[in-house]
Amino acid sequence: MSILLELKDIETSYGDVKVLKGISISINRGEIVSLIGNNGAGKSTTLMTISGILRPNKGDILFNGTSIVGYPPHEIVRLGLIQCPEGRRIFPRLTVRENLLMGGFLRSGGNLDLVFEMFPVLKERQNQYGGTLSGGEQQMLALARALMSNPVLLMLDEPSLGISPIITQRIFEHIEEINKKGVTILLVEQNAYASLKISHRAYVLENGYIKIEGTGQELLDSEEIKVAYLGIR
Amino acid sequence: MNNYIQSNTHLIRLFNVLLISILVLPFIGLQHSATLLVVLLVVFFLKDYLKVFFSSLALSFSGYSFSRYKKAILVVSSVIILIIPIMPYSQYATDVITLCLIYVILACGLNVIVGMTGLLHLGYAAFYAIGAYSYALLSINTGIPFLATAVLSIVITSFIGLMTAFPALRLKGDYLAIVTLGFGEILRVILNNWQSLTNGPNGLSGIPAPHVFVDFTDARMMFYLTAVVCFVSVFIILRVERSKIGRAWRCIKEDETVALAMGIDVVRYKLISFVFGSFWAGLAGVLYASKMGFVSPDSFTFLESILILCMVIVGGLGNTYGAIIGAFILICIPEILRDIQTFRMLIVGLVLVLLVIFLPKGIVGSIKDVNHTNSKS
Amino acid sequence: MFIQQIINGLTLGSVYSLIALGYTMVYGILEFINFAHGEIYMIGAYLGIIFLTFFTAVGLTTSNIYLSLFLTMILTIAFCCAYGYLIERVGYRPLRYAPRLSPLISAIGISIFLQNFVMFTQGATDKVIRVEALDGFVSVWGINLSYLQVAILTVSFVVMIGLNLFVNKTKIGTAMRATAQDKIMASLVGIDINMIISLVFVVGAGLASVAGVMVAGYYGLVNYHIGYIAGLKAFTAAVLGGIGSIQGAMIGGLILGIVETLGSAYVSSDYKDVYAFLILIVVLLIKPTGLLGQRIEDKI
Repeated sequence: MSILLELKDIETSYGDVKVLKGISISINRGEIVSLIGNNGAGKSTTLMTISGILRPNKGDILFNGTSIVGYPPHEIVRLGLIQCPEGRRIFPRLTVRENLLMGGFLRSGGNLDLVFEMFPVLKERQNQYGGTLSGGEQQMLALARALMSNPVLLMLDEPSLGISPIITQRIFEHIEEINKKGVTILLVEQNAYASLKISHRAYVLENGYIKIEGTGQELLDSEEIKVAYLGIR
Repeated sequence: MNNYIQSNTHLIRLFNVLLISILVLPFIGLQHSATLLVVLLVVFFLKDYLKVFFSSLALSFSGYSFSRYKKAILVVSSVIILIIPIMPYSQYATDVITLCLIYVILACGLNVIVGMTGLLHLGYAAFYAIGAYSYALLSINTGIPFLATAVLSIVITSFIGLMTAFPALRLKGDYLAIVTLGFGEILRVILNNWQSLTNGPNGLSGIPAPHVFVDFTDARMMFYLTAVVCFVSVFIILRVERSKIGRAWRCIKEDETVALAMGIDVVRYKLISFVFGSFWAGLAGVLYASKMGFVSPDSFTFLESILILCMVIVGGLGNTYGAIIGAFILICIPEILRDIQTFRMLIVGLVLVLLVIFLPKGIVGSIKDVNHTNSKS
Repeated sequence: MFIQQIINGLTLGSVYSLIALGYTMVYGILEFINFAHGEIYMIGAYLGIIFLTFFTAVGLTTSNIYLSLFLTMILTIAFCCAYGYLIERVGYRPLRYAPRLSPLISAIGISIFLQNFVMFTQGATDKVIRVEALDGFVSVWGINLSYLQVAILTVSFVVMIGLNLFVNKTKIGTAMRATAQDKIMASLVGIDINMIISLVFVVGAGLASVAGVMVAGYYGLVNYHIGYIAGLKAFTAAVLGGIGSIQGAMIGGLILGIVETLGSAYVSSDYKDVYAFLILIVVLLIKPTGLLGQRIEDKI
């Protein structure tokens, strides 16, 4: 298996506060990799650093072997590293269709039919404003929007946040489906159990360090994880 | 940074340099524009050296700790006060320094509203005008003694401040800014057109000089009066800043919702801030009118409000010492540049832009920052 | 002559609208008041006169007046767009993440600089222009419309329709709206935010320059401080309509123009500059977000 994305000893700060204190992650082509951890562990910061919104003070990020540190965010998107950020961030006063077209901003929007096929509910609502959708529908839209640009690596930040368990289950099914189509996935979750179950490998982030890494099953079986993240004693 | 991005930005910058010289072409003609291009290109290619120069300049500041520099302000200002009488008398220098002190009061007053409470006020000169005109009209038309007139004028200004604040404070952020701006413009137009009261654009002249036991007709006497008033004002503002009221203001500035949740009566403290700020504008107006002996609408335009705002921001928003420094800088730079009259405002504009770009937190804030990073490393 | 006054008001108002659009678009994306915007309008007016004088000097005006007017317009727009681009690049971009008031001060600095630059190079006195070819008028139902009024109304109308189509129907226009709603998300879908911001400044400056050139012809004279008061009123118009809203800026400008014209005609022309602000204050007190503004709730 070839390495698609590699973070080498990344350090990132918000102002004076150092959030990531030197983390190294590697993601192979075709995998689902989970990044789990508590609030404030630095999960979203990791994704924002990869996407080029935040700039690391130290370390290197290699995508397909070339460094992408210092690339502006839209150039990173052009390479196929797509992030679906926390809280969905639908454009509220753009219609569903416009939201999707923006997702495919760099690829003159060819994926629309494909995406509508996957999420029929969005087709029904394509002329509605994004802000009027329900939470679950918004998450579908966010996922669909990310798919519009033919991602090579899809980074999902807490796709289950604030969504009912049934919809969460559907979203995780979608994620597996997307992965089967050949998209590599980096999944950031607090819902450790659900995400570990579908992941090939996982990293546990704690206070800006990588605490544990292993395959999804290894982590599910690990005593430490059970106690700290799965609530099983 | 990656090489390709770096070379890209270089190209864009070069393009911008070319663009500047093309854009000024219709205004200054081919020859001058070519000269400008050469100058800009030289600057462009020597940029890295200039950067080294400026950063070493910034480092030379770093030796001063903030408290020492606070003391320095007090020392310097006391020295000025002491030196003025023994120096060879210069009417011009005295006038400029008196003007500076009046603006110190204005800048500190506006700093209360904008810097401490976070209410963007773009019509501060209007209150300055109300103070000045009230004093002028009262002292010309009635025989009330100086102190009473002054107090009355300041009360009138604060009262009008209160009256405008009631409706205006319902608005937030930039809407408040535009309403205060509108208020300033309306007042200016009224001053210009209410011939029977304000004598229109010609203004009011023959305002008597202050009289407290003695007449303050002499420029030097006026300077001392202003200096004393200014020191007392700054002292009071500093005390209030550190009181419960000052803390409430800062809390409102940081986050209004949080302030509400903490049990701070936001509306009331905003009103206090607005009225307290207007109070100082009234005081400065009285000093100005009595010093000049003449007021006209030209002295209280929108640009005046902006000038005072710039003083506050250049010095360091929310910092009274910063406001003092800002007032001195923005009054003195144009005076120093007096000899090159035509260029003067051109340079003032440029300096403003450069100041905010290179010292984004104002002078005081930036000095604090340098010390902060130094003490850490 | 009520209707005549309305027409005059619409003419003035469409000029305000054109300038107001620049304010509102910049505010929509960067949430700051671009105080230097009025100066672009002033520079547009000056450039119009400078280019036309140049064409007269080389003899193009006598041989083909319409071509020279057209070229003047195109050149002015191109120059002003470049001015808009450069102002953002030099004065605002370095301050993108600075405290809120910093860009405002920078804008004021730029405004002072440009005013004095023009005064310094072109003189402090009024510059007068007269285009004889545009001196006629048409009469419709007893209302006199000068050629220039017709031109101003038509051009503004076309430009505004065009802008509306651009913003609402094109991909770049949608990207502009997306950027205004969420800058970080916009960059995460691959929109180059810096490009969009530059574009907004360029478009805004272009609109203001169109207004500037037409006003130079309409009043026949310009001076270096026309940008200040026009900018102030146009900004008022933008707030009146609900800042950030493009239709709001158009409507706000028209209302302001009509109110100002009617006020000067029927109440008193001395207080011409007051009406705009009075209307603004009244509207804001009744509807604090302006006529078409969206209520933005504080996130708690």
